[in-house]
Amino acid sequence: MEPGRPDEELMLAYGAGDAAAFDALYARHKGAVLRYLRRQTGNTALAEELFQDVWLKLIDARAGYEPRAKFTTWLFTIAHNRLMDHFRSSARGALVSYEDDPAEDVATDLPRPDQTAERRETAAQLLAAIDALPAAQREAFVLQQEGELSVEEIATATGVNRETAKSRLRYAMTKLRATLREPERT
Amino acid sequence: MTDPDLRDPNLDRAYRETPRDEPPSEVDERIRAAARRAVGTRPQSLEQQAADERRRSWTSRWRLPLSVAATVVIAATLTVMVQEEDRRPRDDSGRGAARMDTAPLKKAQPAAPAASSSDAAGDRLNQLPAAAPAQPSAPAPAPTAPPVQPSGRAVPKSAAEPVVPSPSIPPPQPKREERAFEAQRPAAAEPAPPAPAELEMRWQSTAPAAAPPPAAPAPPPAAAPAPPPALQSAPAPRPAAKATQEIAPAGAASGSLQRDRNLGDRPERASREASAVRSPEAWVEYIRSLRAQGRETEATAELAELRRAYPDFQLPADLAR
Repeated sequence: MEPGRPDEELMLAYGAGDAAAFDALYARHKGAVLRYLRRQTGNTALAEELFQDVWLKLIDARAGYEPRAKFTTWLFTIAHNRLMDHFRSSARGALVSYEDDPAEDVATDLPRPDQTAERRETAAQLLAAIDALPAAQREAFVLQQEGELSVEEIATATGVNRETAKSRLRYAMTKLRATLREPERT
Repeated sequence: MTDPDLRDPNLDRAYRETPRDEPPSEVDERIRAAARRAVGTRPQSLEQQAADERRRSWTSRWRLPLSVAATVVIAATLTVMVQEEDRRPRDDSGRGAARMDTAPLKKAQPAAPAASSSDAAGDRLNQLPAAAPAQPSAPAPAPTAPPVQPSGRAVPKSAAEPVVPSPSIPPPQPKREERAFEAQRPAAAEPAPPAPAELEMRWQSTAPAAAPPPAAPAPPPAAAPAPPPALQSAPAPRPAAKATQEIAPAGAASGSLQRDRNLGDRPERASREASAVRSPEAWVEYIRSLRAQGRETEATAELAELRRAYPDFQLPADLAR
């Protein structure tokens, strides 16, 4: 592990042939990438498959890497693109079109608080609420949480403008907050 | 830049409490192994990579020019070698053909003292394998075209046209090697037929102890001093010398060529060497063959020549008479 070195420097070092730099990068970000994929696919095995593809793409792209953006933005851009490729080639191709998000009626789709077994399972309820979010909103939220990406970086990683990314994130947070408040009210 | 409304501490806390999924260890190993394979097992610093890049760029920059230069040098060397090889036999053939052309002229003159350049030519032909002696049975090949110079121009008739041998002495049939050469020559460039004296020299040198030719004996060895400068410089068809080269071993051919050049330059030395080469025993055999054919005059002349050349030689009883 190389705790002090920024991601971008590690990636440059790996592009120069330093395998240890890759190990450090991988250890830092493997969980976030896997969870992002897991949340977006809802399938652990598929997420692991895509996860490997993402890192192999990063390995292939090491020579052309230029630190023009934050490393995590670049990493999650790769992950997002791989995910979109998968959706296009699968039955869930409709999810590629995040523009069709039924943003306003999401609340009706969220699990009811009484559907959760215990209040201690808030985290699990949150995960369920995240899973119930439209894919684009979910993606924006997960990228914010897992990748520590800003609105601009989410927009970059997902290939949309800032306002769209901001809107998606706002909707997602609104719904999730509501989910978290419900158990308290009940 | 980040809107505070877009960050909720409660949500962040709640999300952090969700299970932290991690990839299985086998997936980790697979990906790390792929990463190591991609860059090689040995870690490489940026400085090392830059040095490698410089080295690669130098070799790639000079590879093409060096290849071209090497090709040009090899091609030039080969060209020079081929030209040199071409020039050498041409020089030699010039002398050989001049000698062949002048030999019949010399035949009309009285026999010179034993030392002669034709004997020197015999020395050259000594290098030939012991082939069958000349068998002059066919009529003289009539030259159909003047000899052609190496440059392709016809030699003036006065210099290059062969003198038709005397009817009493049929021209010898070309030897086997010469016939083979004749077949290779183009008809238009057919050179003069070999001079009788030349063939005679060949007979003497190749079969000194053999029986004389059954059909028609070869003419006596004619003294052939160095040809006149005009003839000496006249170029002759190149194949004449080429044929000689073909039938002689490679090493002997080059040696004889060198000797031939020396002889052409120094006639006296050539005569000395020639008389030293002709052995009295071979001469005796030749005189006997002349007598056996009833050519007494020539035999007597040859005998006198032998006595002059070898005053101390003890003549056999049949010739001493």
